[in-house]
Parts: sequence; structure tokens; C-alpha cells
Amino acid sequence: MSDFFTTQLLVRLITSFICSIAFAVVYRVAPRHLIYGGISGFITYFVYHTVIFFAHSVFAAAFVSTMFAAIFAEVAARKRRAPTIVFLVPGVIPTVPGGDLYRGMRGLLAGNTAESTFYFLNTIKIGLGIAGGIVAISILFGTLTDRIAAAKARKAKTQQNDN
Amino acid sequence: MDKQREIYKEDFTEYLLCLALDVGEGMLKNGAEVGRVEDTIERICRAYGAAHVEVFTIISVINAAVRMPDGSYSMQLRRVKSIDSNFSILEKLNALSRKICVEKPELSVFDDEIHKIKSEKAYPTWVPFVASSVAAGGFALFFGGNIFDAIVALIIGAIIALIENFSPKRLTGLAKTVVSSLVAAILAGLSVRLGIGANDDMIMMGTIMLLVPGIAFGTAMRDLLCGDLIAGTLKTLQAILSALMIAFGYTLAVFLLGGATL
Repeated sequence: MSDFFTTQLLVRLITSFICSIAFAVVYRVAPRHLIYGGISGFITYFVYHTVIFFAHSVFAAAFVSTMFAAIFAEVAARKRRAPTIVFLVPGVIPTVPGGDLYRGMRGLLAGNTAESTFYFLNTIKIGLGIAGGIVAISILFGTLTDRIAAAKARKAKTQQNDN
Repeated sequence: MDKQREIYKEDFTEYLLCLALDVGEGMLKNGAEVGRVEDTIERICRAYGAAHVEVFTIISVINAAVRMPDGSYSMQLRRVKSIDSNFSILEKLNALSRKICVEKPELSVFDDEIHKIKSEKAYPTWVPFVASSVAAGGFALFFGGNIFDAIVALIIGAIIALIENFSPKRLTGLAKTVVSSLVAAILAGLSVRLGIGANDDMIMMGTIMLLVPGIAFGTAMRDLLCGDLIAGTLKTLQAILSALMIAFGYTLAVFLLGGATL
């Protein structure tokens, strides 16, 4: 962990790009949106790695990277006129705590309580981080959209009055 | 179903609500959040001049009532039985509902469009299989496995997709997760014993990514925190239970293979 750029990071970035696209296909995202899922997954993992490297907290990493994926998804959804979830799911995939859940189970079966507790707690932390990121951005963008719609309605009304 | 349709067609209010529910059902089935489903049904009904619309949705039921200005009233219940996230249908239904609200075509035209969307396929059947195995193989590499682990995970990923799509009808929901996890763990353990894969851990982590309800948990929390308490609670429970079922399947496999680990 002493270096920021390692071969592991490179492998993980490439695989998260591929896996995000693969997951998008599993969820049958329309072919023309696939590449955005891949890009989102790639950058999301990069953000995750960066936050872990500098802040050493899986919760913060999951929270910040999911927030990024959610912002990307909200913007892409508006640009490309599709529901947000189409871009959100592939983007978040690289942060999903499958590895930690597995290590927790393995520790439990091997009788290694310390290991299993550590990884199960990690799973919960990452899960909450993902949930928090999605909720925060969804509320923020929902409010913004409402404000913009209200502003547009007011503008239309004043124009009508002018005429 | 079709006979029932014919009866609906005679009454504008009934027919309208039936079609709005078709759209809502399709969206809920294919992974839309509860709020979006309720919102869409209400918008469609209002676009056709409904005076009063009430919709209540939980993860498996949509309950809707509509009253027109002339006093005619319809209330319908729709049970949504299977969930199989298909985002391309979700996207098309979403676009259709926007279009409908602006153009307000004849209800029969609306009906045809819904049927067209529901029968369309974004990918040939084999493509999701390949994608599922690529995802499993990719994540095996992601977690630090070597190329042989990735190949084993690739095969197990395809088998999980087979279980997902072609298992007997009785094998539903969480039971399917247990079986998938069990089969994946047994195959991973055997492959290492036979000397094909090198690290059962990496193979398992790769394949488990196909089953872990990480995003389901995230969206469940969103529903929960944004006011859809019932749907949110049920979805959270579902996510936690499926994580437990993955662990259960894995444990079973370990005992079957007769060891403390795979």
C-alpha cells in the first residue's frame, strides 16, 4: 500500500470497467448506454481507491465513490433521457462488498472470530456507505430538479403576464 | 387475461387504469423504484383528465383508484409476482409514459405500444449468460486471482446464470440464492482440489459478486429514507436475507466437501 499506482490498481481499473459493462448487460441495459456504465465503474473505482489510500476508511471510500457514481448517473440520465438506475447500477458495482462478505464467512467457518468480525463490519460499513451515497445524491438532485421546474414555471407565468 | 381485457375496453375509466397499471407493473417488475411507479401511474391518469388518483405500491402489489370528472370510478389491484431487472424495458416504458402524457393518443394505440415494448428483446438470450460469466471472471481477477481462477469463475458465472434463468419454477427467490451459492462454492472447491484453479477464495469472491445484494441494499435504503417505509423495509429485509442465504449456501458446501474451508 505504499505506492498509489500499482499493477493491482491497473488490473482493478481495467476489470472494473469490463465488469461494469458486463453487469449492465446482465441487467439488460440498452446497448447504446453500455459504455457510460463502464466509464462510471472505472472512475468510481478510482475514486474508491484514492479515498482509501488517503483516508484509510472503507466507509468514507464507499460513500464518496457512490456519491460520484450517483452524480454521474443523474447527469447521464438527464443528458441521455433514461432512468437514473440504468447508469447507477453498473457504476456502483465495483464498490459492492462481495469480497468482504466472503472473507467474513470464511473467517466464521474457520473459527477465526477476529477476522470474520473485521470483514463483516467492513461489509456493513461499505453497505451503509453505498446507501448513504445514493440517498444523499438522490435527495440533492430531486430538490434541484424541483427548484428548476418551479423557476421555469414562474418564468413562464411572468412571460404570460407580460404578454 | 385477454377476455378480461375485452370487458375493460368497454369502459374508458377501467381501460385507462388497466393500461396505466400495465405500465406501472412493467416498471416495477423491471427494477424501478416505488416512487417512480406511483408517479408514472398518477401522471398517465391525470393526462387523460382524471380528477382524482390514488396509487399505493409495495414491492409486489400495486393498488390504484381513479375518479373521472364525470363521476365514473375504477379501482384495480395488480399483483407483481416476478422481479427480473430488465432495464431496457424500464427505459422504454418510461419514455412511453412521457410521450403518452404529452400526446394523449387513443387508448387502443397506447395498448399496442405497451405490448410492443413488453415483447421486445434488447439482447439475444445467450448474451446475458456471456455477460454473467465475464463479470464473474473479471471480478476473480479484480480480487487478485490468476488467469486460471478467472477461467473457473467464468464457467461458474455461466452456471449461475443458468440457475437464474432456467431453474424450476418452484425454486424462487431466496432458495435460488442458496442453490447458486452452494453450487458455486462446490465447483470452486472441486476445481482447486483437481488442480485447475489456484485460489478458491478469488474464485468464490468473483462469483459471489453476482449474488451480493449491494445495490438492492442501496436502493432499499433510499426508499426507506425517502418515505416509502413499507417498500423500503421489505426490500432491506430481502437484501439482508439474501446475504445470509449466500452464507448459508457457502457453509453447506464447506460441510459437504468436508473441511473447515473449501
